[in-house]
Amino acid sequence: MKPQEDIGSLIKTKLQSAKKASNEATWERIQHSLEERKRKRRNAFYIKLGSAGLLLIIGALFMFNYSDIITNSTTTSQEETHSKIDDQKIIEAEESKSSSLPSQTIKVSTNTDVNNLDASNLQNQEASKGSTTSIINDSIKETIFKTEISKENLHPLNVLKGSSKNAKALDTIVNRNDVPVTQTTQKVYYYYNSKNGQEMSSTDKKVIDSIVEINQKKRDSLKTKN
Amino acid sequence: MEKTELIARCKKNDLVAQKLLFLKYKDLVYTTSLKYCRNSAEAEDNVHDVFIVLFETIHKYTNKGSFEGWIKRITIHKAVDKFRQKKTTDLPYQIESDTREVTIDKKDIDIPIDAIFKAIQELPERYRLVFNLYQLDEYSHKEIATMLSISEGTSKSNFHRAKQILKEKILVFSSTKILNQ
Repeated sequence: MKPQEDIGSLIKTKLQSAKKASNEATWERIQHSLEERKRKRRNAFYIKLGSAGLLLIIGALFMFNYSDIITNSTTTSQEETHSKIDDQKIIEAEESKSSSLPSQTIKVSTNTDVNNLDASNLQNQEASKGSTTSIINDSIKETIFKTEISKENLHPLNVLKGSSKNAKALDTIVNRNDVPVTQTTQKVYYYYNSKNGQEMSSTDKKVIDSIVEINQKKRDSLKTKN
Repeated sequence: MEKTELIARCKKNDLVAQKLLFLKYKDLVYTTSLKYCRNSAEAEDNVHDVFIVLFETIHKYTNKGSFEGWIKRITIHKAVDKFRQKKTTDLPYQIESDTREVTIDKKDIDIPIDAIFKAIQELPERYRLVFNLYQLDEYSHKEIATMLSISEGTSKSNFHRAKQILKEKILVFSSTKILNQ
């Protein structure tokens, strides 16, 4: 009987020393494939880079437009503010023009509440004081009338609407505390009544003098009574 | 040029070094491919694919294991991948797991290497892979089963059947040779 061996082991032994030569032309194919893959990779890189750049540009354009919108809106609000300031300046200029002319404007100072002025009491007090008193009374009435108008029409919102008509009609403007104040460059005379806490002022000295005179007369009359 | 230097230059995509590496290891890859492929043309294709993978993944090689072993593993896995892609169903369904030894007279196998290669290449796809993996490259049946998505029993059975076919082919070749003499 012939010696038998496992076929697998025999084949393995036989092939261990086997070496077959490959075709060198395979390298050309490998080189070509490698270059093609490199090119593809490069193209993919450029595509990615391009798309990233495009996104960046789009983003930048968007941001630029967005900032433009913000700037425009800011400018608009600034223009509005400027127009408001211009309106106020116009009003002030017109006031100063009107105040440069001789006037009989009586100013009610800021610490005086115009609403507290009791016109009827004043009228009662002054009715008996003759013609001078009636002149004063008229001027006081005028002041109250002007103040009321200024309260109604010269509210900041009304002023901001650019109503120059209101500005012309009145000699007063509204300060930050919504208290009507008359601006004038002329010399102002003040009178303070300690009894009722009312303060009056006028550019016409005669008016103040007459009020003082009336009050003094009143006191004198009291003295005479006593 | 030393092997480590060659590998280092290949990692930098140096084309000259790549060619030198190819010339150095092409025969090893080709010989391994011949065992796993059906013919020399398919083996050449496998060599091409193996070197492409090798140059693209050479940066993963950390000089720890044998570089030849690493190349051989790539070659085997490439061949297995091709088998998976084909999804061949050329094998009859087998239930029995015959693991009996298939023996042959030592004189009968005294045939040219090309004849042995031819006998292996003519094996059905899966038999060839199982025989090569288990017998020539010393993979376990468990590993083969995982690689080829088959059971361990099927791997053993395929291996036994491959040896039987090889025996028949070698005996035919041997008898023809004797007749020619």
